[in-house]
Amino acid sequence: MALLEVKHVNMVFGGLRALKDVSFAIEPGEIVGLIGPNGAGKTTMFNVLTQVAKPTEGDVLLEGKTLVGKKTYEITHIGIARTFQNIRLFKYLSALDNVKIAMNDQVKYGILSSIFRAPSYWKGEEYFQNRAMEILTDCGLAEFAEARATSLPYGKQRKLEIARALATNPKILLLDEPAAGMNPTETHELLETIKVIREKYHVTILLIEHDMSFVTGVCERLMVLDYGSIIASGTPEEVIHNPDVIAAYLGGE
Amino acid sequence: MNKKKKLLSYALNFALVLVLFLVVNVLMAAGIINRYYGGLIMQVCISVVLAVSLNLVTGLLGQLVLGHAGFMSLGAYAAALFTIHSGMATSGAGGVLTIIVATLVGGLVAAFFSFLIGVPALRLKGDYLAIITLGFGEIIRVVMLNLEITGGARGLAGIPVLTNVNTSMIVAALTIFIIWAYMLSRHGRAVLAVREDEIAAEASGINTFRTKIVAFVIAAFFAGVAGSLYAHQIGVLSPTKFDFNYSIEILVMVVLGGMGSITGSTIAAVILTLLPELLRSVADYRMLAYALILILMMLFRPGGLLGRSELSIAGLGRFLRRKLFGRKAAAAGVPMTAGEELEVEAQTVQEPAIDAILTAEVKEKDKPEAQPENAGEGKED
Repeated sequence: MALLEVKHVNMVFGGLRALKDVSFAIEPGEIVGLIGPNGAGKTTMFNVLTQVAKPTEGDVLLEGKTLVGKKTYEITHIGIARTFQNIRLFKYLSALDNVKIAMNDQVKYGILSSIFRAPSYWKGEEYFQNRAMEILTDCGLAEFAEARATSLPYGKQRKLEIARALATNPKILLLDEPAAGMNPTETHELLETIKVIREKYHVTILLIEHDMSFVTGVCERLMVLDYGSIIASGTPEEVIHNPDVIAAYLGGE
Repeated sequence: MNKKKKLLSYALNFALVLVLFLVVNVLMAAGIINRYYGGLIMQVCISVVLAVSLNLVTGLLGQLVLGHAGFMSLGAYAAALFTIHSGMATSGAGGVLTIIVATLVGGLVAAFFSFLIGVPALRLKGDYLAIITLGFGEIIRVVMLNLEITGGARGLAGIPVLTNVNTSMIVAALTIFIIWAYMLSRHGRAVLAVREDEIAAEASGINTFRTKIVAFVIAAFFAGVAGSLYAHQIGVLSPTKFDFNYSIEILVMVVLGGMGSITGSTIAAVILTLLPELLRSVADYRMLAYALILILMMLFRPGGLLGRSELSIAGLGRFLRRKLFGRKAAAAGVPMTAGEELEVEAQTVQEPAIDAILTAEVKEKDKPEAQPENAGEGKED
């Protein structure tokens, strides 16, 4: 069974049809790239998947259960985590706290336990600490654990966002332009990180990206969105040589 | 290891509070703290409770609330009416029990009403929430002014005087401790996440609405507690005390202390409560001086006294160590190890932030001579 299924999703903003009858499925363990020209509806697709925007029509299913109508934080608990196109970290908090916040509901000690510093509090905090450090280490951020999020270099901030998303124990990770604005070294580093976390956390990844070398380097399958419709899908090799895709990017007859 | 160190710091802070408590009691017994000073201490403690609780919503949660005095008045009237009508003892040991129960009643009533208005109001953001809470505060005032049971415009007189210096100090210390303990937990991290970025918080699995409601209700509870202390200190309640200006006064304490700093709010509450008293000698220019100090403060320290950072014993220790040894070590050309360098950097980075104690708490490899971490509850006076 497919992990994530999108069925005939339409999204209308006033007179604009941002998504037109989009359907696709993602199998467990895949790394899929969603590409397309600016304004094609890629971020809207992410917003629909996380229910930030409710689709006008259609259904989104994770492991066969519908996500439509759920709150965003519920979606996160069910197993979809995302990063943002423009970085949205908890700016004044440390990298460690950024990650800990994403694990907030994995140990549920109550308010009274924290006020009285009950054993459940200490146990919970120990779990948060160890798990958060583990994730930061895997993302190559261990040495920045105590640093304030905004003090990190740009590339590390992007990685921290991925670490934070990973901390929610997602089944599927949505990355919105993870390599945007990165220099080649940083992009390469990110590529390695994504491979590492995929190995270790067995997470399925759907990513939006414009950097073609990055996309072809990491993705096993690509989907191309243009004017709200999926116009092509297949291996990177197939997609890049698809005449429709070339027309969408460069303009055609 | 880490837990042990934290427990040690709790004990240290508790000991400091205890010492303060004993000092005040000895001074009272010696007659150095007379009725006037005693009254001032109670006022200061009430301000501290108000400022620290408002700081939870406005500074730490990041929601502008302009009706804190309204919740205080709910608590004040509820507690006063309870004491008058319950028939519980009003002197001796019975009186202590009465004020404890009455204060809880006051807090719970305020918390209940904050929940009622919080559910619709907290779906709004920024200015809208400010306006709603402002309106709510005014509604409370007008209702109190017209109800029979509250004595209307004449006010509610004949409330047994049960608040004393010790009860007010204990309540202030407990308030600081509870809010501090709440903030250094998973609940507190959720609160900070909401302030930093609501969309990201929601995407990280935080139920932002519930987080806001809980913090809002806790803050209102303590406003009610402060109201109860006030009612049982003065013995007379009049609705005009809890007007919009008073809400602003509390807000000024929070802003002046540094939005999001618990110790900052505490210090500012102490200063701003004592300032008008200290300026009595220049009575005519009192309000002028008060305003001038505020303006200068905002010009030269726009982030407030402490900004987002907290005053802590550990932080103080680090600061002194850096001042005394840091430069000397650098001048002598002693090379730092990578670890040390990173630590120093991390410290300077964090110092202006509220997370200074949050992160100091979890620092894994603190230097051996570092002092225990702060608990922040030792500065209520």
